[in-house]
Amino acid sequence: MNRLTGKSVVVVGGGIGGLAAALRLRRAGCRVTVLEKNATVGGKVAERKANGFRWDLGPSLFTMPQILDRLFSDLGEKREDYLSLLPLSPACRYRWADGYQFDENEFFWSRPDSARLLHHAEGLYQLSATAFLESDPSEIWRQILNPALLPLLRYLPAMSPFRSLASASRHFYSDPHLQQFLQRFATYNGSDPELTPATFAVIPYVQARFGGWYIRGGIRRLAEALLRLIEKHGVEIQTAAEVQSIDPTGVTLASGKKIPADLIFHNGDVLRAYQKMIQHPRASEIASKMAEPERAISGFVVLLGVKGKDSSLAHHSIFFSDNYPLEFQQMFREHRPAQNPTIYLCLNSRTDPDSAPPEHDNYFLLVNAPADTANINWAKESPGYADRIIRILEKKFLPGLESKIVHKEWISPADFESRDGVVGGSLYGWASHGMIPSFLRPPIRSKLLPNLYFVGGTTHPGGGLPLVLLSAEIAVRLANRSS
Amino acid sequence: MNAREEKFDIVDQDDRVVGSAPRSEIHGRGLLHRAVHLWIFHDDGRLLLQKRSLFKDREPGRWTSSVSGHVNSGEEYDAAMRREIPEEIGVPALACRQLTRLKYFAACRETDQEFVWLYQAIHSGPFEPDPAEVAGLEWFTPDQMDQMLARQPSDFCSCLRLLWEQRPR
Repeated sequence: MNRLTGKSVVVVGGGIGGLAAALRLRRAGCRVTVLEKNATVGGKVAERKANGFRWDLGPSLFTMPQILDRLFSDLGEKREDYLSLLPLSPACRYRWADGYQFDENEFFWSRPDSARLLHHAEGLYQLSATAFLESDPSEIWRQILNPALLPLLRYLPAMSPFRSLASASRHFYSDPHLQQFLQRFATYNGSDPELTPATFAVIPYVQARFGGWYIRGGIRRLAEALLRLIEKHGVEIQTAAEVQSIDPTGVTLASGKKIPADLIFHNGDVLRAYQKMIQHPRASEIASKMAEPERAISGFVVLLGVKGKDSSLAHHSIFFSDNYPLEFQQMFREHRPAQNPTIYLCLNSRTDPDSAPPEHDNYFLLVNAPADTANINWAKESPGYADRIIRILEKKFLPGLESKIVHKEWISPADFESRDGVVGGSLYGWASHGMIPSFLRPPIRSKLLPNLYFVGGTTHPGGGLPLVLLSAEIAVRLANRSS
Repeated sequence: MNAREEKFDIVDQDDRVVGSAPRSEIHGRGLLHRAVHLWIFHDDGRLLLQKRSLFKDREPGRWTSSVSGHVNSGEEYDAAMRREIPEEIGVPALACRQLTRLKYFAACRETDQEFVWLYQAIHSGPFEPDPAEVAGLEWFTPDQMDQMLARQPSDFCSCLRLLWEQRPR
């Protein structure tokens, strides 16, 4: 039975999690209003166009397309009518300054050491998918005790949450290059591999099993598709509507206007909601507890327009630093930009020639950066740091790059902070350092206001498009059960 | 309307104050208003430009003057200039040597309906820019400016393009 029918719901924030939740709530029969503080919806799923180039500014790697397809089918729609997904092979090309390189493709996953890793990760995935990915933290224990899953526990030792991903990488691979490859998956949600549970090795499994995909025309088309659905299904959207406070009866806008609601869904930084928005005597106490665990890193982005097409580059590439531990030491403990960072390159003009002028490429470069806007003056550091990243590529990997650049700009953690309203510009919420913050992110349902739910990358199950879509699914299910 | 939104004076065709309105209304309705721009020159003659954040709603990612800003309601041009310098680049206005008015521009489409007083000053840095306002600062020689403007004019704010074209030489 559907208990949500007829309820009025306000969704605070029109990121992908907010839009997905709004659509599911509408489908369940709610009257839904989305309030977005910026001029457009989509949150981190944004794009930049200049001088004939187009860059995706948000998440550029998309996996687990079945979760997206499920959103469409639950609404009685077909994803193919709105978006076309292109499979990427290789999913990624990894390169080192010593000349070593390999492609992450079927051949790589069939190597004996990789196959062993996948085998363990698969067991873990089956164990964790229901428990972790499909449920709220409050229900995880019940799922874990599900007798059907008990035989899968044998996979835990090699990938125990009490063991670090760095340690697991040494267990599965003897080649230091490949150890570094596995460790990199900690940075998928902005964490240090030495402190991240080995269970994160499940991420490469997900990538190997479900593939890496590109949304034709760029990731922004996803936000546009959801917006079309929103209009078609009758969800109300207000942009330039900044919510200042949330109480059990509804929300208040910065203009002072009050919007009453039976249920409130918050799509944004959970920490900031407790710090600044939630009207409850215990909100600040909970906020200070939440602020204790380490926040995930931010990112520094350089967008380049480059003359000529370099056929040695794949759609996604990673250029590894020579000293991975030093990079994390500088970011997490010295709180400064890494001097020789690992560089991620997304070149979607490889798959989508329309995103650059003829005979040109559009480089999206991303390095991890400390989520610190208090002690680092990014306005001062950014131009020099952008040039530093370009020089590393020029010197170690792509000779001649500098002279071919026809367009250059950058995005710093300070820019992310002002756009997303996320403390320090952190892109992934909390760092997954240790077992508690990794698996027990802030719950989806607020403890203080029983009619307030959270969706998005800072709540459960975590950051990244598939998980954000899942958070909307879980939140609406919980609301339906509890209302 | 945002309760904390700044208010600017509305002016007529002759730059005389005729009223005031919040920022969003002034830009939304294309009302005439006032702004200041400052060009800071290095001792070696290079010009300091400011990069706008890619997430700004107006002219994202483009290069603009070293310092620029609106004249608030009830404020004079000179006072607005002195206020914007420390706000944007973190140095006292007094530290800018030979701060003077350079040229006056009437409101037009390129200036976004702003009457602009362009100032100049000498300061070789260092600066402490406000990262919430400024994405980056860089020095350019006048030759570099001409080359970049010829190659990719869209990398510059329309107002800066006009100011540079019509600068006193």
